[in-house]
Amino acid sequence: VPAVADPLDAAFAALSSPVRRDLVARLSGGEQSVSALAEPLGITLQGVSQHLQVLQDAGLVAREKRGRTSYCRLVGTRLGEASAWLDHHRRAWERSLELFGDYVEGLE
Amino acid sequence: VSDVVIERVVAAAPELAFRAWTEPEHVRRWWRPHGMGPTSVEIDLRPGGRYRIGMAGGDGEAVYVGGAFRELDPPHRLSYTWRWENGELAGTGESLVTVEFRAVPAGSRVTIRHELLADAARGAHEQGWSDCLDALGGVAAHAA
Repeated sequence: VPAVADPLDAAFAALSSPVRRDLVARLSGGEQSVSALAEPLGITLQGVSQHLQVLQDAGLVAREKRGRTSYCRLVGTRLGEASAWLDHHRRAWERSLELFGDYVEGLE
Repeated sequence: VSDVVIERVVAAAPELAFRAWTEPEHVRRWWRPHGMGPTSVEIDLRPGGRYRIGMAGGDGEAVYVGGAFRELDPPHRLSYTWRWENGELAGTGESLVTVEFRAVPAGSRVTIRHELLADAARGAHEQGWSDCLDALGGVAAHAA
């Protein structure tokens, strides 16, 4: 199974770039136009557009054109899935390690 | 963070801890993530060998997790892939679990690391990731 076939892998892959993490961090404050996103990065509109496309393909960001301006916003679901995966496994391992410890200590 | 790391010191030597972690008759006795008891435990403990654990909660239907052993260095270290076959986490892809048992005066320090397996996700371990995902957790809660 190719890694990109998995939605969660795609989300993590998209967030492996510092530029894209910066974009996501700034979008966490709310919707922004593509040109406003590009400005502080000092990269071209086309450059930022490519990064946004990766985030969009990973289901992290939605883009909408209103008039002549494109706006981006975060999509919560996929981010929620990524953190839900981590939360789920963290809780499960904490509990498992507790039970494992109690069990193995009882063996000696 | 793109992975989960959990540690605990247990009052048992690494040899015993390793066996309790990898032998089905022991695993059956302590494996209860989220209160789900094991319904089946199959472990073929050799490099490339597979394991599969079924577990069920109150509502009955068993969920299965399984994978293959990658590294085996008893009694200190083992790693295995991890994939949910069904249930709410099916489709979240393959991940990797690495467990270490290091001898300490009190017994063993057990470290569990559970990480996503995609190459890209490994690249994501660079700094900044952690803060980012922490922030995302809050954002996700708002946006969902």
